[in-house]
Amino acid sequence: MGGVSRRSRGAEFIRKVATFSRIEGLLKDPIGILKNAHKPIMGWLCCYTPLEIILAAGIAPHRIIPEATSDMADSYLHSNFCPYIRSSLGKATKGDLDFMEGLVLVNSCDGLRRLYDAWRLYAKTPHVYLVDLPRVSTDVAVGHFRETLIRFKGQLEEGFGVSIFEGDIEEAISLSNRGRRLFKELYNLRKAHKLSISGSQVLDLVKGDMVLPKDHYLGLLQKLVGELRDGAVPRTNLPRVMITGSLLEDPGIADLVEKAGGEVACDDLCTGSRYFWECIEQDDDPILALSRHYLSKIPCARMMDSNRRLDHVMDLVVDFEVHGVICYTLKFCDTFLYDIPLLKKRLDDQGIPSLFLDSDYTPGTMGRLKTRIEAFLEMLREHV
Amino acid sequence: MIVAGIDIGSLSSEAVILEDGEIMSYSIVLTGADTQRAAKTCMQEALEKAHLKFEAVSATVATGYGRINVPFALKTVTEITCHARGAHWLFPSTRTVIDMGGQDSKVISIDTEGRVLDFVMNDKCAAGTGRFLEVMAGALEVDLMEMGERSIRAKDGIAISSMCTVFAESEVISLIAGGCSKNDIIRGLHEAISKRIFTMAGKLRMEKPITMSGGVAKNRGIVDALRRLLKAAIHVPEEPQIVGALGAALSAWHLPSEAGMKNRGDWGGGSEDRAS
Amino acid sequence: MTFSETIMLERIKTELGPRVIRGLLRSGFAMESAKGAAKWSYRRENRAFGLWLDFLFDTMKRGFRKERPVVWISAFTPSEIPHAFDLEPILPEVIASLAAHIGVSEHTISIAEQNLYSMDLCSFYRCGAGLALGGYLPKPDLIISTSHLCDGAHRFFHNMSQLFGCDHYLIDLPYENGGRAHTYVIDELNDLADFIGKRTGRHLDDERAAGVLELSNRTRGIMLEINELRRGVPSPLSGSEGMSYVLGMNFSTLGSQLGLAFFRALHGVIQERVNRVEGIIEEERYRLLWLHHIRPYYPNIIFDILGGLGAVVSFEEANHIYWEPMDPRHPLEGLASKMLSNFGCGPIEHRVEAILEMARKYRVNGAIHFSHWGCRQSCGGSYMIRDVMKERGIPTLVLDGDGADIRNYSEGQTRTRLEAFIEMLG
Repeated sequence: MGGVSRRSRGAEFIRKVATFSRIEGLLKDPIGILKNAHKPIMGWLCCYTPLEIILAAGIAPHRIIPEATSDMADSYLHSNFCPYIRSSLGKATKGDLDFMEGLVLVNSCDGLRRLYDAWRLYAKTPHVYLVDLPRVSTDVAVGHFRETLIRFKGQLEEGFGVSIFEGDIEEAISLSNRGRRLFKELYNLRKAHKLSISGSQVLDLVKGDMVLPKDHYLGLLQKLVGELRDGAVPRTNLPRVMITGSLLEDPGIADLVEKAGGEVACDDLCTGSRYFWECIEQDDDPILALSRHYLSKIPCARMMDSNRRLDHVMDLVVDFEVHGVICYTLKFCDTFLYDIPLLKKRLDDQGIPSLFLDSDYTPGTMGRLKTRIEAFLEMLREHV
Repeated sequence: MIVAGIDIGSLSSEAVILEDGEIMSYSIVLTGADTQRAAKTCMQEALEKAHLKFEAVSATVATGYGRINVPFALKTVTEITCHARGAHWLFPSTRTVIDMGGQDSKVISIDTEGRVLDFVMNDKCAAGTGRFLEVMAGALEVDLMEMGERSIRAKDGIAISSMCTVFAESEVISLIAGGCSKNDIIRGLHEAISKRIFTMAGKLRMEKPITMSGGVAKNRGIVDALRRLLKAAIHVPEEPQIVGALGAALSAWHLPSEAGMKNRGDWGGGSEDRAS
Repeated sequence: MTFSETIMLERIKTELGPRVIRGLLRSGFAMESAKGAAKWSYRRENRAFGLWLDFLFDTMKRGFRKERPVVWISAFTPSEIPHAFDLEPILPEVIASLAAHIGVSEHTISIAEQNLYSMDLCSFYRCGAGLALGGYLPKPDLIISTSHLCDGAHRFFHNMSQLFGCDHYLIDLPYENGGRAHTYVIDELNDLADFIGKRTGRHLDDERAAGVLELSNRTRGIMLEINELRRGVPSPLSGSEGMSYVLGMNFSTLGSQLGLAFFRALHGVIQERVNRVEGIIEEERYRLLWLHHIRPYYPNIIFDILGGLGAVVSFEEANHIYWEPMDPRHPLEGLASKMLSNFGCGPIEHRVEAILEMARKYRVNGAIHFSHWGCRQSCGGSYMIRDVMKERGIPTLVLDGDGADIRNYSEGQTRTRLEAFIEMLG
């Protein structure tokens, strides 16, 4: 290697750090930045939330992802209940979410259904909506969900005194697709390359799109993805790990994998690739396009046919040349827990080692999982 | 070459010193609140037994939940890999290792070379661990070390249904109040805890022979109950508590002996230091 | 547990033992003799109970013999559907409760956990999965479930369809009634009729369907009368019974002759008790409402403790009749309405309203919300229900426990909570 190329890579590195640190800076106070945008803020929790309609209404969507905590509104919801839901309610009842003018929940699972009840009973957010969501993706269901989305659009128009035109939704879809394409490019880079940012930092980038004002953020992201593309180096021979499951409350789990001598190849997570994997196909009827998209996207375990999700997981294993799979579920997340026997069988049949972890969302989780992840990597290293 | 392995567990810490593939000495101490101190004490004890100075040891590997707090170790390896290696070295035909430790229990399936193929561990709750037995021994007011013998002397096992440590404790207390024999209760407890391990083992494609490690393996009552449930013989090493440290020492043995891979210098003193 | 139930279970346990019971669930012959033994100890006391036993054992036997296509359905799938198509309905959830009753659930739950069903999941489904994996249930030709009330149901039945390699139809129920929800469900039921036709060769016959709905409506009428009788003091039927065989029949037999016969017999039994002014306990001092659809089915002391303190469960949420009679000429419309009118669907206000109505109607002093470990949908709302009830002046105890997994049950804790609650009622 000549000195020149090494120097230029050094300069590349500094430029990359500059854009990435700007994003990291924004992520330290997303709420402050949202407030500066002078738009009403709408909280959301589930990846099935039709964000494009919210954007079209001139409202800033912001995903609630509390940090790992032991403060979980235990007097309002039973302790054997999804900790993501409980910690979100905990934040709301403490007044930490008073900046939100609205909250939109989706009838995705028992957790969100009960959260809709508890939020109205115990928290103070002015507008709380629930969007119904079918569990099947038949034509009848697509038609039904389209009607639901039209109703939701009407609720937003009435609640926030705005009019949402078809053009607004089309524009929001374009914006949303721009982010989806960028993330897909970033993930695809990892098929053959090692990025100059860590696995948890990639997940932080996805989080950025969920919590920051989208239009502003996508400009920065575009710049960063370009820089990462230029700075990518051929990947190493370390064992490649995929993380699949519900959501990661702490992207640091990905760092545990890397510190233990592995590389995070890709993920199938609600705080990762499931958020952006496919673009929304435009249609003359933009709401029909949304309905079709959300019902046919890479599904969450809450949909009836889990085989579609598991097929996708197995495809990722092949496409990203994954050596081992970590399945990470939140405690009491029934829908994902039911997938475990099915997933384990498929992975075993293909000879892919797997590690099943569960988290109760408390700060101690990382410590508890560290040994398991290290042992898993020791095991992979012996066989890779 | 002389190498050492050290296993810092939640209840006890062990050190093993190997020379050219033979165990020279080992030691077992209580961990207590200060893990660094425990690491040093048990290493010191093992060194003394082998009549060695620390400088003679080429490499030390640490394992166990306190493995990162061993300043003089060259490397850390998890207890899963270490138990697999240790059990394989003691009983080369072993294909499954059951380790019941203080706060974690694990079932590890290994290949003919002693490499880990898959493993399962208990979740956060203490049921199925040494801690569970310790709480029950407290409730029964018997010595933890006596439990194995007592359960063998039992006439009949009393079914203990609760799995949660808190529930089981209150169940045990009411059984004592109801006049049940302590020995029978202990056998019931051993059966309950073994069922947990049995269910965990069922999650793996478990193959025989089985080796058991960890302090709980000294309890004959548990080993018997597991034997009955698994319908298989179980190898128990002479000193099951040191299997993890032995595996760590074996890991040190396999470290490439390049320059710079020598033990770190932060041992911080020899035997004279210990007197203070 | 009633005295008669205790006798039956003791007999099955002592005379047959758990090993045989497992076989018993598999072999028709053993079932015949068990039924004989059970009937012997029951017939004189409770005709309805005998009919239930007949039904249960006969269904299993026919299912194993494959006399007609076997369909597994979830508890909230209207049983009118299999009856209208002349299919053999098997309800794994109901059988799981029976398995807990006769002491085999620990074994079946262990099978499920070894097969990676997490211990955080509902124990009825873990038990059901263990029964299925152990080969203790007749194999399904197809599976039908609904998405109300909980996620666990449709996920469990999906896994079962993967296990047995058979098709699963999910009746996806909208969050609540209103808008196009009703048409959506009717569309699905039409689709379901095709689905059943293609897989079993049995098609929906208008006349048969009308007959089934007619039967269901008549049975519903009798159930309403039973519920009226249960308003009487002293309470003529125990909550413990209400949530075992009565509920099992409510889930499995609506739309069949047997269902009608069972509820008629039960009506007779209760009417006799009312005529004799015979209560469940000697001195009825407190009347309670039981919330959540189930109770613990393994041997437990809950109802004994309550009885000892002069408290009786007068009514349970599970047996509330929430649906209107169905028009036999439009069966799919009627069934869609029935499912959508379930008060467990939609916002919790629906459930609260229904519960308050029950509390008023049965003049209860308080309510117990049983909080079943693996249940998210109902128990997820237990604290909200407690808070709202408290505001309305109805003291409510949230009682933690588990319906089928005895490992999550603590006798000492349960006793303290129940006694303190009754002391609080004054």
